[in-house]
Amino acid sequence: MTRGCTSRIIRVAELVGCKLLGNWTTWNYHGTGCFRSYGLHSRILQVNQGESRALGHTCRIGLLIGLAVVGFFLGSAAFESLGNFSFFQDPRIQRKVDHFKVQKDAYDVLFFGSSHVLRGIAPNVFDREMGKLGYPVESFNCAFWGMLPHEANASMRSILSLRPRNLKFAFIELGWWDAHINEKNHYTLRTIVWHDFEETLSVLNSIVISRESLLEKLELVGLHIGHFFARAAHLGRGFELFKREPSSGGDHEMDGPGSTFLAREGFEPLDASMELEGHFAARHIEFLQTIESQAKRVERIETENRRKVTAEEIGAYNRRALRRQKAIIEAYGAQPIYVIPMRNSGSPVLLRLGKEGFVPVLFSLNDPVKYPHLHDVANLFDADHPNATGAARQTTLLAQLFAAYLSSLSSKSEE
Amino acid sequence: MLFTEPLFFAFFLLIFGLYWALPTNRSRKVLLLAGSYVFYGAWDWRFLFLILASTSVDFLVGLLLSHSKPKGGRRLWLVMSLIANLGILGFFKYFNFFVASTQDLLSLVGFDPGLRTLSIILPVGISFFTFQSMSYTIDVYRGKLIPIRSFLDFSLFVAFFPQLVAGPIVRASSFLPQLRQKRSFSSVRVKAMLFLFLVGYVKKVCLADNFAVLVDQVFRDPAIYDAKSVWLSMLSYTLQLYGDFSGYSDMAVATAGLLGYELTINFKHPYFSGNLSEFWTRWHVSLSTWLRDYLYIPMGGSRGTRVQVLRNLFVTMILGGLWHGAGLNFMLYGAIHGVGLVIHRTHVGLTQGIRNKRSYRIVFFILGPVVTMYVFMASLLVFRSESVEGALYMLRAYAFLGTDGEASLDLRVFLIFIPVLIIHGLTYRFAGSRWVDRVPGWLFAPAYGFLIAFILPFIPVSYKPFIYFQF
Repeated sequence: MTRGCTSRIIRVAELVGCKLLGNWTTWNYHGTGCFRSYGLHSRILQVNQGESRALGHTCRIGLLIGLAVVGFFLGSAAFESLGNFSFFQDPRIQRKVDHFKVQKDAYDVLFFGSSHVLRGIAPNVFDREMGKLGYPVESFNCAFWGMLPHEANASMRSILSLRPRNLKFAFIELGWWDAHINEKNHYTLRTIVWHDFEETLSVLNSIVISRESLLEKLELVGLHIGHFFARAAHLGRGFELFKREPSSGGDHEMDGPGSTFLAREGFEPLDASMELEGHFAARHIEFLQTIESQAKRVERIETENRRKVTAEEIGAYNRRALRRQKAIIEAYGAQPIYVIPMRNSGSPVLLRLGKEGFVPVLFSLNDPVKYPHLHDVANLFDADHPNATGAARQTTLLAQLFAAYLSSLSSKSEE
Repeated sequence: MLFTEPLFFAFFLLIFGLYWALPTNRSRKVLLLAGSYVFYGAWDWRFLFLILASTSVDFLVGLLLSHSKPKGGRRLWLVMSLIANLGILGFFKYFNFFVASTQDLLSLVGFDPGLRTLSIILPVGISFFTFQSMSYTIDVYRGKLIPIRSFLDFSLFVAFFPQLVAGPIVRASSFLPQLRQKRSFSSVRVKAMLFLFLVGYVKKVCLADNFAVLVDQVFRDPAIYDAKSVWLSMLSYTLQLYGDFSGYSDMAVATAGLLGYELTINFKHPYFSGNLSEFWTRWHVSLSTWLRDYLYIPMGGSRGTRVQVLRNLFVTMILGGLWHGAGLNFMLYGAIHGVGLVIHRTHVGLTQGIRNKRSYRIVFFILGPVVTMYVFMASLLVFRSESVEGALYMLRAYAFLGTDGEASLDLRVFLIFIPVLIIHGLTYRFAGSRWVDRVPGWLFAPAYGFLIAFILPFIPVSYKPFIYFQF
């Protein structure tokens, strides 16, 4: 059997060698041509002609596919060199990042996360409060709307790669490493761009350990691998080559004069007094219409937070991604601080992770028992987000907790 | 499953590999048929019953025709086949249109019969496969074709996945003989077919899908745009439709070609046509020849009085318009072409004496394509419009440059038409050359990969189905 295998390998090698040395354009599979000229004629005649033809075909196709792949990667590299493709697709996010690029060394505290952070943490308030408490800091809100942890992590890596020299603390919204993507966001540029190798690997891990059905897992794996290849192929980015630099004007419709989001260090409050449109208005109206249900919502959050968490739930949490995130932040010389901001659902698994020490430092603000004022209707824009007043109160609370933490650190070091 | 989707590539690679690995012609055909049903069932498995019904009826009618006595019996079987096919088409495609039209008409005279439309899902490509299947029975009836005795072959002829959902409409006389012999891989023009697929892919995703964004924007609310923007959107739609449909046809021809089968070329640079009559020999060729052979000629064609000939032309075009769908806009689209063809034929008759004059030839060499495109674009406006008000507004902007709208599109988009026209012209000039076959494999493969790397970035990330799937 071994002998059979060896002779087969020799035949394949002979065929490949011959084809590589011979005339590429006029390959033939009849044991003539280059075989004869290389003195292999007598041996090849022993090979079954049909088998050699099939092997020849396979070799040829394999080599040509290989060449096409090489051509693709060369083309891809050539395309990459033509333009400066940005990680951030939304012009508003891009403006924020552009601002950060210039000012990055001024900040020692950064906030990352979703709209809960974007709408709920006001750096100006945070800096003022920290200053009052004896810990002067300069902070910037790097959060973006609709960012689930995987995307937020990729964007955080992208921002940290700008190397803000004075960064000491990175506050990150602690969330579930969810692999689902809202269907309307499938294959949008924003979703494609965060699927780099590292984040795709991480999201695949989230899927594998999740408690989804096998079919659902396969579907999700396909979706994320598809996004990964879409990113590798620069899908949809061709026209960026012809685009002019993004304009620095055209502030958001919600920014009043003299109070742009940049002046607020990246913070974007939600307030009914602002000119609301689209889904913001709809969410606010829906909240107003169901305002009498707020007590029930708070009760539900309390119940959820108290709920016992099973080992399976903990096992389904992508702790590897969390560890990796922590390591990345530390590699940039900063300390990760995790936050659970006020929201419309309980976070029992995340709280348990905090208690068990998986999360280094965790401030849970989503606790209606301890901090009922954050869930007060007067401080809310909708059921899931604070309004400007609520954001200021939440930020003040966070600053106080953080200052207490720093104080405990210094007292520990004194001891 | 679209030709441009990754899922299709995986599906085709599997079919392609298995097909050429299978030893017998029969096993290959079984594979292709199974694959075709999977391909079609991917939209909605319930549609498979429809295609099976159409296939079975026409196969059976074909056999019965060969055993029936001439005249009476044969005609009866043919009528049954036509009723079955047109019945399926009529129910799924035109039922709601006729019910709604009747309801509207009766309401106008103050009578409400209470007719209700049904929620019918339109099966993908129904017009293509029913026309294809029907042509078989008509050809058998006419004695032009010997009825086939293999149900497998006939089913594959109807359901062959490369052309199943958006054509080209294949004739039994050209396809069935290809099924008899085992195809040989050595006779497949792999490089040419891969290149053709890429050309079709570029037409669809880089050209049509990108123009679609602009077209949709204007056609959704034309009244807010100025005349220049309306013109821009109409030119864009002209290119979008061509890129979309001819791109699909190219990919269909290439996919079939990679499996060793030859399909009809559906587009022959129609936008370089000198008149409408020539246009219809270059645009959607498989449909226009179908209409010619099974509608226009049986109606009398070019025989009879001048008025009868013009009537035949007009009616054929109206029905051709209705083939696209049940709607007044499609009927109007056909009518515009019908009137155009009638005018052209009359013009040909009137200018018999001066047609060979140099000055006439020069004028019409320049004027012909311009007028043809102008009329075609006007018909497309009706074809694409979402409302009568929108169509009228756009027609005013198109014909008289008169609009009330102030919104303007970025007119630099017009610049895109220059390279598109140059490439189109070059492909017209070098069409049919076999230069791709002469490129050595070692050069073709990396160049192909390199080209793909430069094409993929120009795919808009939003999803766009093929326009002609709805027909």
